[in-house]
Amino acid sequence: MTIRRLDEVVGPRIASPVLVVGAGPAGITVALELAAAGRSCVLAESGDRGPTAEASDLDRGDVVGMPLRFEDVDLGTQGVRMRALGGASQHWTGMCRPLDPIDLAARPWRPGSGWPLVADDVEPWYRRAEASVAIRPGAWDAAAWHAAAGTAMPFGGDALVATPFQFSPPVRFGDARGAELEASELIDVVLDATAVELEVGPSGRIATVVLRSRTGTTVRVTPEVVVLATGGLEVPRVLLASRSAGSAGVANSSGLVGSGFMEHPHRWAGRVHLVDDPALGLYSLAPPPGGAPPSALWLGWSPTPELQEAESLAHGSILLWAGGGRGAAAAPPTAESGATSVLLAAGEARPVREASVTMRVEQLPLASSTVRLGSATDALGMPRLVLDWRVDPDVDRTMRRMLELLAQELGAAGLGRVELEPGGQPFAEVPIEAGSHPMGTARMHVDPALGVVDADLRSHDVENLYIVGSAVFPASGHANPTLTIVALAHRLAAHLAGIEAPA
Amino acid sequence: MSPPLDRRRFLGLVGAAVGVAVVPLPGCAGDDDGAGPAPTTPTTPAGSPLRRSLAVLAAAVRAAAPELEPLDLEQVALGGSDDVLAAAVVELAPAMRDDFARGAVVDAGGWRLSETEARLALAAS
Repeated sequence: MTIRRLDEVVGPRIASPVLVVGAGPAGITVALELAAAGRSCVLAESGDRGPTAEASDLDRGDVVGMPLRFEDVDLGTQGVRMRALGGASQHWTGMCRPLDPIDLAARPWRPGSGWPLVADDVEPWYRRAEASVAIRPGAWDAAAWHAAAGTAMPFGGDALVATPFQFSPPVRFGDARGAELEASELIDVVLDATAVELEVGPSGRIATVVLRSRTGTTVRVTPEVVVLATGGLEVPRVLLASRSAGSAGVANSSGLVGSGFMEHPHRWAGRVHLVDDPALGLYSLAPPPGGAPPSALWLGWSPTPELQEAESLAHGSILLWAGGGRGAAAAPPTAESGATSVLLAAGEARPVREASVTMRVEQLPLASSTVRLGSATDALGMPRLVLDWRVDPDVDRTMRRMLELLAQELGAAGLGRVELEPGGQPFAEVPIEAGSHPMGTARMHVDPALGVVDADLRSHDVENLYIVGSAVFPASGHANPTLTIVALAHRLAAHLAGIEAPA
Repeated sequence: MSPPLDRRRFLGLVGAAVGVAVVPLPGCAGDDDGAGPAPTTPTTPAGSPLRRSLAVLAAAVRAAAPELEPLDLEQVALGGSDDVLAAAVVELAPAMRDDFARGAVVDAGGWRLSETEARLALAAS
């Protein structure tokens, strides 16, 4: 079946057993996995094969809370999204890590935490997702990476645990899986097809999904099942804008759609000065020992679960950046530059190296941190977004604490020293940046009063509506979300196809 | 807030504390940032990179942690050469690591330091 545009659809209606809305990593994975199980679907993508200014303009909205900034660039609501075949994978860095068990757990010191899933529920699907994004399956043990590199762990203790991140090449799902989509007899890919309304019928199910092209063509799909996979910003937008069943929107009896918006607050703060020790070799972004996959490996550190509990910390990670850009750590200092004194260890010169420090933490799903509809409308007549991003005080506290812990561990190991406030800039004045990871706007919970979807990603309110993607994350951890998004998509597709989890 | 340390100068101390010994750089090779004295025009703080690192560090320590007392380190007090000073740093490196391990630290000039190295700076400056 070819990939076509909505304007090329003959007639005002499409009948399909399953409509997948959004062709990002989640939507494409669901469609391909359903097809592999012999199920057909329509895969509707708002964008085209590649990004266009016209499609991107549909993402434009107002940011009234904290800015979504990255370095000096204000990303706004457009910069964190990609409306094209492949979705945000078309511009992601490929940085991957699964959630840890503590991220899924209900933690008394983290209000709103707790997934209705445990590690065993998601582990098999992580293995599938790792294959999908071309990283090394299950390779999340820092000690094993050190063994492969032939180096000792720089330190191990009660405070910080080494935390590997693997990098996908990155797999851009639109490019990498486009040929499979096009070749499939069971997947009907329709581009320039924006879902502008989910219409609820008398039975309380989604009866019709209205798709509209930027040229004004409107086609109505009448699916048995709808999978909404449009990302952490567009999921609440579509649900809130669909008012056929009431002014609160669809699937929103809890009032939680769009509430509890989360990002991964990032900060580049602090600088480390390290002796040139092989034990630290894995702690900068580099090709992995043993070769690809993954395309690159980067180890950082996270507070141990015990310390998180003891000090009521958020989960986060701290990483060293010795590459170009970001501060003054573009290269190891040299004697000629005057940036080092040369050390002698048993007659061996040991230059001091500098690195910048970057950190990210999870935030609480604050009720005041929201995605809502504004009064302005886009070219398709949909209300534009208003994003009000806020974070809790534990973000600052955890970031600062991680830097202190790094100083403690490096100092105790005799490996280096940490500048907490390089240049005298107070830590709290270093701006918080965004990770382009919008999450939590249609959270998962077993209680319909506390969540939008259940553990199977089915809407509590609407029987034939499923949501997959970062919108359903009730707690975010610190890991980049794409791997978890793809794992959840594999799991959902198996659920819809009636397939058991792999062993 | 205490005045920021010149991190490039401070590297001399950092290196000594985490390594074994410091090789004094000739002249003022460590001062290409414009903040330090040229070798032929000594100003305060004067001396080698390591000694000047300690002087700058000591000023920050005094501002951030005035309660800290200098170490009773005769060889540092009496030693006029950086060789002696470097040897003292080497001797104290295990104590510095122990300080970090047990949380005996002080923030001075934007750095997180071992209390022992902070006291050493006060003693040697």
